[in-house]
Amino acid sequence: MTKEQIPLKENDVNNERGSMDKVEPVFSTGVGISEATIKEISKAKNEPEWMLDLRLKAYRKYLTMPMLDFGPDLSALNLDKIKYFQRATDHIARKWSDVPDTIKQTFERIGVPKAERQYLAGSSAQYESEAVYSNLKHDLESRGIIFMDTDSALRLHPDLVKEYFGKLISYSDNKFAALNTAVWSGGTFLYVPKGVHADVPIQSYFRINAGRTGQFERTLIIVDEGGSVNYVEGCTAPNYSEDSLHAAVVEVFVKKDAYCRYTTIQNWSTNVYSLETKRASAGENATMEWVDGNLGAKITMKYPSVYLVGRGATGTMLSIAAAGAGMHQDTGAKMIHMAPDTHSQIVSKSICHDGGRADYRGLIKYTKDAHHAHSHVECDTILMDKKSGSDTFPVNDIETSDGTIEHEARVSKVSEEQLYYLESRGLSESAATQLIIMGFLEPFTKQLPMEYAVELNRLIKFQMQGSIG
Amino acid sequence: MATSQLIDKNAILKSSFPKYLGIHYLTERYEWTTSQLAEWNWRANNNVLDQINKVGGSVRRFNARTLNSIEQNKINTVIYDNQQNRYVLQHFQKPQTGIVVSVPDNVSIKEPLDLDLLLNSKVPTAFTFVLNLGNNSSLKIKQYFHISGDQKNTSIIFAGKQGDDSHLKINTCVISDHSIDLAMFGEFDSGNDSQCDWSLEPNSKGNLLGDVSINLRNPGSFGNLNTLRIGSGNDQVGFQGAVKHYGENTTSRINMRGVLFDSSKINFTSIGQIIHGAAGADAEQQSRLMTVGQHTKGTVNPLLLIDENDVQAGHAASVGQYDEDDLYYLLSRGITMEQAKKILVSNFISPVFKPLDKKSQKLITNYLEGSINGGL
Repeated sequence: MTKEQIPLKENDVNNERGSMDKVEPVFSTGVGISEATIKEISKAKNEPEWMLDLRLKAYRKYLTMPMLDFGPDLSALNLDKIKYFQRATDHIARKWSDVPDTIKQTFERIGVPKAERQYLAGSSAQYESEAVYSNLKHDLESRGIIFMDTDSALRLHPDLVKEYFGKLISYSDNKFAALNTAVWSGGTFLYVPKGVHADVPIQSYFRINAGRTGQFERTLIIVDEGGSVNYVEGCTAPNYSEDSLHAAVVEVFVKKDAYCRYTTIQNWSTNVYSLETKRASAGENATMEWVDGNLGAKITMKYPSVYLVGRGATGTMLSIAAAGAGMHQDTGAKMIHMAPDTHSQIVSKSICHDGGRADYRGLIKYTKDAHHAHSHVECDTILMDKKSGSDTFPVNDIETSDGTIEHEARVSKVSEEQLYYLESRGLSESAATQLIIMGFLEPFTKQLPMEYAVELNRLIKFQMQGSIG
Repeated sequence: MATSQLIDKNAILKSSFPKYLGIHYLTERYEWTTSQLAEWNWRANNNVLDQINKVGGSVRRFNARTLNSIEQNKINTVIYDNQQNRYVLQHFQKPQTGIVVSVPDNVSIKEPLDLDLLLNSKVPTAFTFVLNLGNNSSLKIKQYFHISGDQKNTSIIFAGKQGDDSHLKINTCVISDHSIDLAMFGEFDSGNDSQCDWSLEPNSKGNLLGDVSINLRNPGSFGNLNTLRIGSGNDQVGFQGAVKHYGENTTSRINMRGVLFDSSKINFTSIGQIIHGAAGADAEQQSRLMTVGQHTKGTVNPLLLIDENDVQAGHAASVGQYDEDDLYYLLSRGITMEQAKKILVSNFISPVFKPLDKKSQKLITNYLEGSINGGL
């Protein structure tokens, strides 16, 4: 095993996420939103009529919908000051060498496409509103897998997009789903045909560069019967003085006997509002797994859900949240059991330090048809110091008499006994604390691809620098 | 001064019907008005009454004019803590009636106070229970509410204050002979190093809305809150039990059990709250529902609200049927289905049932038998 070579002294989180690039967008709708903005976006993308209609319908709904009335305080988020659409390049590169240099440097620094060369089946990169790069290994392409940004998919596979777009998350679902539907741009479209297994992970990378930017990723994943895929996405942004917004809508359809794992490592800078709507449906004997790491953002509100609609479907959620100074992670998961013999599991781990706040908000629901359903929920939180806090809001709701739900949660500080033991073995307090935290997160990190696990450990150590020991 | 004058109309207008996470209820169900004072009777074991009177304490019926300032203050605290809660404000707008139990400092009453409260009025009853337990005193109360007399609504509010180093063990059992809509609110406040052990069995027929709490306001205090509810028929139950830690080194345990028969609905919310500064606090909760009937609906929401890091806080919750393997085992030993289910239900409720006194156990067993026979 190689020794950890992480220079914990000089680097700080700012360097880690990279500084702001000087990239002038080739096209932008400017600040603010109106019906004209939406028409402009739609026109710039050369979209079919139905999409523009949907966008406008969603925008009108958005105007009438109230702000979210639960969780973190969003009053500082000024939606009129956001730039809703910025195009960084005028074409999507298929070869890495075609990506503009400044953008390329940023992605090189955070590991795209080095990771691709090493082990990924395909990867794409989104910069501000649209994709700048997209590539899929040839053999997967020849087996019928479609992997591209959603804008291109709308042009090249309009029927597929139309069949699934907005079917799981209606624009009337919540205010930010409505906003996303109105101004969505970019995101990933991934289709895995019947019986095809994408055996290596496929990756997307999202970057917000300029301040006051809204990124409205719209991701659509369809895994057809018996297929399987492992999709990984990463998100970063540099630090700047003005707040930005990332409001994604992600819809995942996992058909009969299919398998999908969706891994997110979110490391937005602490002036990004990350308000996401992520939802999956799992058919008969299908498996949907969310793996969700929230390490950045000013406010995160994200509750990925799985609708277990087929008999024997399984949904799992494995998440970690690390909240440092000025951060509020309001995350959780929802498992809606709508068919017999369905199973779900949620494991949520949170760490709060330097006055950060990590709340868990979750829902397990069994409808009348969910006979013999089973669900298990675990939430563990470590509070590192006096300034930090954590609330746990689980709702467990059963409409059948033959299902079971188990729920456990625990909030505590770093165990003094464990610290004492490690220190008695000669470890410094900070090394001991780090070890305990890494051990606490292990159920999560061991599920990640190797490179991501290493990266994640590194990010957490960076974030907690100074707060440990 | 009559309590009803404490609440002006503006306060009512500013208040609203309480919202609880995961609890749905019909607001109009628990809202009622009356200007009539409800009739009710009470009795208690004379030897304990004598003991309390002898040391200068009292157990007495009160109306708005016969409360002393300490007792009135306790009610005012409940009103203040619940000024957003329209039901609580409306409760105190109605003609006030209830029982005051007051025990001075340094008194230890060994034998439990058996308090039978017969709410047999035709008009709805707004009943307030006020407790004032002195420093270094200890008291056990067994409280039985028997609700009869055709009343459609009843509301019961608890306003309790404990002194330093005091020990309180109180059991509140509610039964009714007909279907009512019962609302229960209120709180017990701790003293330094005091102990409060509160068991609630609100098993009146019909619907229930409850929101009770133990406030550990002082260092070293301990609070234990147990709840048991059997749901049958079309009962709709929303019950929230909370322990709030304000003081350092405070400890709490919450244990809630519900059994659902027929088409009953139970929403349980348990809250372990630790305020910033309550270092060394330890909060554990368990909240469990067993679904027996075919058309039941059960919700458990165990909440942790933690603003302090030097703490231990945890909860466990479950909703589900009896274990099928357990049932199979019992059947294989020649036990009938009905008997086996009874065994499984009694085993499930035992953590909150066993600590109860014989009389409460009997009342609950009778109620449970009725539900099981109707529900299996």
